[in-house]
Amino acid sequence: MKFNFWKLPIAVALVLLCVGHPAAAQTPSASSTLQTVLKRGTIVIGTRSTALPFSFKDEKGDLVGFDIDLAHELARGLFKDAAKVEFVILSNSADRVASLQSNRVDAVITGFSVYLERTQVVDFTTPYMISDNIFVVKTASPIQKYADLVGKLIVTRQGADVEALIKNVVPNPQIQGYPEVSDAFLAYRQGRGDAFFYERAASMYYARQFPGQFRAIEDREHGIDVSPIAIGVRQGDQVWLNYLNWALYSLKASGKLQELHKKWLGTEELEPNWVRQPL
Amino acid sequence: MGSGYTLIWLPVIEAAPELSYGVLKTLEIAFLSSLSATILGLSGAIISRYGGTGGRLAGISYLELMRNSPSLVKMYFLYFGLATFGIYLSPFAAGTIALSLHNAAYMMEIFRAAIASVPDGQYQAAASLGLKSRVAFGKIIWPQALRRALPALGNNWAEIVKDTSITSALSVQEFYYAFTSTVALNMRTYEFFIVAGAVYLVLTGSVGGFVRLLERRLSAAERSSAKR
Repeated sequence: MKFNFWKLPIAVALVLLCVGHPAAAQTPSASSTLQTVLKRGTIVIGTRSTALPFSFKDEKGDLVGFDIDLAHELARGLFKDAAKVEFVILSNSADRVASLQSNRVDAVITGFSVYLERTQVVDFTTPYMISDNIFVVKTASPIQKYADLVGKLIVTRQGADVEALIKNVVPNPQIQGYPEVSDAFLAYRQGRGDAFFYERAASMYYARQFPGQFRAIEDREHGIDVSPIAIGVRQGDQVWLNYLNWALYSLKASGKLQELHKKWLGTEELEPNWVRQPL
Repeated sequence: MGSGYTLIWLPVIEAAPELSYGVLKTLEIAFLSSLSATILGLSGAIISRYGGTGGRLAGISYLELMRNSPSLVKMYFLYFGLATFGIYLSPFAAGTIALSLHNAAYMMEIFRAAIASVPDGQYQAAASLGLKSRVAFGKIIWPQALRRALPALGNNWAEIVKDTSITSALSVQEFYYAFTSTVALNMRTYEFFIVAGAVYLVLTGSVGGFVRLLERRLSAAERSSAKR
């Protein structure tokens, strides 16, 4: 039965991909993505179209969000023209690293949370947002603190990353995960599960769409690990990483980063403090 | 790919328990959906073949209704759509029902074509032997039709095995869910994709082996009955 073997070419292609790229052996600066980008005249950004409020489609179908604005600012810095960005839509979150490794994009900007496990396969810039994860419940819910969540069904996005965060504060949690955060929130809104859990900026964005219906659980006694959000780049390209870090620094120093935080999150609370503020 | 990517297998090994649990869940969904889709499909084929104009129209309507939307859309309808009317199907139930209904349409066409391919002479011969039509179908028509249907049935069963992955969209924790969840944290895409490819290859390969075994048994049975 020949359809059993349709996966074989993919496996072969994957193995070939892993063999490596001949251009990589050249001098570091000449082979850097920075030079490629400058020569090309546009920057190619991998992003998702479903990651509110980072990168998503608005009612008109246009790609908007914090990360989209950030990408335009990077283009302004590179080419003095904010329009010189090309977006590649990543169909799922696993695509974020694969798209870098297969040279399809120059950088990934799409609410990319930094975890040690991920840092082993991809390089991250300094974070442009320091977020964390929160539980959101319906306003009338009896749940007030993390201890009330024991034995309750928690709705969230699929992923061992999110599950590990939940396990930090709720022992043996019951978790129902959806590939899309929007589906997870819809399921919770429809009455499945007892609490919704996700990254703070996204959760608050969803909750704000339904004023008065949802509230966050603030349990200051038991903090959940912070979630730095950064730009992802291919490993081993220190020149490009260095450029992007200084690009972020200048956005922060000029107040542009603060502007983006206010525009998309309605708060500056999640802005990182890695620059000494002028007195 | 940058300066070369090193395959690291430890994350896969660490995820082995979740992945194995996922494989079991995948098998469970595949088995239940294949079974109910086959039974539904066969019933549909018999109704549309022998049920007169009404049966034929019902068969065509069901086929067009099911064939013209993706199984994912059916899952969303059963899971999120019905929930707005207060009907809460579990993720597992919604996924399995959607796969069954969807594939029953294909199975129905497979059985219908297989039954139609048995020559009219066989019906006449059965009638001339004085067999009642139900007995004629069970003893004469059905064994021949089944043998002709088997290769296409095998395709569809293998398709169902792969389509179980779609149920992860409803949070069913089958193999694809386990695999994408672990990748979401460690981003070891290549390692996990290779493993996933191998797992689906083994699963669908087993379906293929099972079908070949059935085919051999059926043709052996036919030869021995021909000798008699």
